[in-house]
Amino acid sequence: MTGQNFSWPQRLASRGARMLLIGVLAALLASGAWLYLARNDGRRFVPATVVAAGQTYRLGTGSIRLNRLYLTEKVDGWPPVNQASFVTAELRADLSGLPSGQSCLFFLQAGEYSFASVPSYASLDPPLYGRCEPGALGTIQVSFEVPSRLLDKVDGLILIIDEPVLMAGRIS
Amino acid sequence: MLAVQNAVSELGSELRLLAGTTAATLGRLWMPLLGLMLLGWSANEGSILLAAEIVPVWPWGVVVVLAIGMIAQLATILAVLRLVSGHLGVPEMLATTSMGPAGEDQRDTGLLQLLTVSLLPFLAIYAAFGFVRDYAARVTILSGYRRGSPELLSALNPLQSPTTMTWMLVILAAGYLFKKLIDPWLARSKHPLLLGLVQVVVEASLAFVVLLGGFRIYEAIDLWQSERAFWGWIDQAAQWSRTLLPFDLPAAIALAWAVLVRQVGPFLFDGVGRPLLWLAMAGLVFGPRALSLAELWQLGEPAGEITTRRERILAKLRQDTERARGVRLVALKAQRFFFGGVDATVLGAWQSLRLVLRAGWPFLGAFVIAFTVLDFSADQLDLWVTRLLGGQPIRFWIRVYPFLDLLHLVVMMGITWVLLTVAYSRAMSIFAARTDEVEPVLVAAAPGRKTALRDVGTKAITVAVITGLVLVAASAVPTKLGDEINTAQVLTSVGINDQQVLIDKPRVAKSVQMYGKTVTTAGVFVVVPAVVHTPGPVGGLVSAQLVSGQNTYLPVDSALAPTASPGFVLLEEIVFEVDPADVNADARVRFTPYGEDPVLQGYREVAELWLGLSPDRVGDALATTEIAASQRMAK
Repeated sequence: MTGQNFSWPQRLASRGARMLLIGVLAALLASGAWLYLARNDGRRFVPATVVAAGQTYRLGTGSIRLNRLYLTEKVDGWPPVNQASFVTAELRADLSGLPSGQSCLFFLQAGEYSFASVPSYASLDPPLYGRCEPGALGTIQVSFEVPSRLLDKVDGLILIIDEPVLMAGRIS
Repeated sequence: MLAVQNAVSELGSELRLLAGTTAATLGRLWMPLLGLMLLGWSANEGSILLAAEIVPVWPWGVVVVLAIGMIAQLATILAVLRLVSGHLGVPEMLATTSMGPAGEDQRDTGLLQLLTVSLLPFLAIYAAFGFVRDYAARVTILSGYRRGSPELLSALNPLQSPTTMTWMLVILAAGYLFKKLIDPWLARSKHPLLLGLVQVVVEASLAFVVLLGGFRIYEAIDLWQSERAFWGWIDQAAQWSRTLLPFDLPAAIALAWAVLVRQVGPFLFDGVGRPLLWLAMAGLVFGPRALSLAELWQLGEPAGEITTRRERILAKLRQDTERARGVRLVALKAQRFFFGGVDATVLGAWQSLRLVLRAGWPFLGAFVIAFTVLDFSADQLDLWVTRLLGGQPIRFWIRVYPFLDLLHLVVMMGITWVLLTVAYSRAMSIFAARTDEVEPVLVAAAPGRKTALRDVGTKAITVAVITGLVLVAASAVPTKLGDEINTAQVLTSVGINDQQVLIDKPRVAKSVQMYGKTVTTAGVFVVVPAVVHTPGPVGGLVSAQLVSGQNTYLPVDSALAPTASPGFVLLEEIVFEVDPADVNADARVRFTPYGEDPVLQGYREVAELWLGLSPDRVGDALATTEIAASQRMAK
């Protein structure tokens, strides 16, 4: 058996520095990709779609639009807890395109924070329900209890049907 | 006594040789070794990352991505093994064995050849060690964490839908047939290397199909058979046997089985079996030349003549096969078609293991000790780095896991692969030293002396005792990490990852007023005013338990303690119903954060807040106490 039959391990041994450089570059690439894809870890919602303020989001043949965000003193007769405020989102909804049995979830986004809606919320004429009743047309009002120190960070409403959609807006 | 001294001397000599040669090899080849291991790590992590990202788009594609990633990593490991063996001069040593054309081996001519010949058995044993399963588990966890739902497992669950079941069975059957039919294609193909690599990818993909979904078919069958009346008959027979004997035979068998399976078995397998299997695995890259070396030693003459019992049996089987006709011939061919693949995997490893086991007690003991020390060091390194990083939420551990894995896969496994190659080379050198034809490459400073038969037993026992002591010492050191516990007294705020907790002085009472009702107990109630604050955007469930001695108590009203949403503080009185004997100085409340994911946890911060109780508080207990309503505020 002659040495040339084992030449590839010998070549590998003699090109150690090059092999190390290739390995380090590959590791840096893999590390960079890993850290980049981990950038949203820990965030509760990563919106798949962002709807600009005042714009309408299409829901099949229907639509939904964030009309305004405003402060409310009480919800169902109850004031907010100490150092907190109620923020109410008013939406104009045409849910004719919503599949039967589909429901909606609303969250208020303030920077990195997100807040679930308070258990009860009122609706104006015609009334809509928490399940985003398919086929309904009207106004939805959803309220959120937010620490007062975060009011200036409120940047919109997260709507979740299939995936999170951020409907941008500021408190007026 | 002299035999014992000789055994210890030889053991020490072998250990010094293994450690010294490993260190010298690492010093000489650290650059290409580190480069290869980093390449393998990159392939591993890159494929996991890519697989987790494509889960929502194409779950079945995960199988191919993982297979290619794992093959790439195994390829770098094989290259490391071959590189080190070349540096030690093993190929030149093996070249002098007189196997002739029968010893020609494709492993010698190129990396691709090495891959196609060695990768299949290597993959099989790698899977047996659980690496493939761990690989698949990481993708499942990562995709579940980032996508919020176990899409991968449900998409590949054959029990989920008839379509998935059909596809699963078709893929498994097609893969099996492909494995059987590819060998004649390889022989006739103009691109045997490419086809060989395709074969390996198919094998690896089949392994992942089984791991990610196919196992459910087995589970369903297992569940079905476990509900058969047959097991009821077994139970009845066991009940009847109890009446025949003065002792409970089924219980005795169960106890003996439990000791064997849960204590003795794992100790023997992990401590002794695992290192030897790893060594046999490393030997697969050396091929039939290594085995011929063992034959040379055993026979004392060139291989080819039948002198051993095993060779007589093989020759007879060969004759029977050549004489087989009709149905017997068809049966033999069918047997070869369906089970011939076993030759490439299990038998190769088995022969490799047999060679290692014949290398002598001092070598075996030294290798097991060296491997154990390395393995132990790897576990402790992992432990101490985790402790250094401290308790963190799960998003931190998901993010740093590849870099912690780098320490293990690149540094510690790199050293392990070198040790395995050095050890296997030493085993072959031991055989070479017993012949006149072959010059050994690794020679111990105190070579083994010819030992009288009566002293062989003494040598074996001495080595076994020393090795056993090392194994026991290594297993006695804890390798599992619980949580990082932060302790404090009452009215001291303590951090638990993204949240803060604090308790006030507890009250002890014989009854409590809660939700308009009076609740009494045969023990006592311990009422703990607690404050939970979630200052940042991430917060989740916080569980509270009262711990005293060996006992743990959950709150009476709920399994969950006060949980403050992000930006809020919650004040709540937690009520525990406690045995009066546990009202003592040891009593404390443990707050455990679940963070953003209630299922996945890493090494996290946990708070244990001392209640400052004493046994006389039981005698001074309040007759009743009212539980205050919880309060929230923003902060």
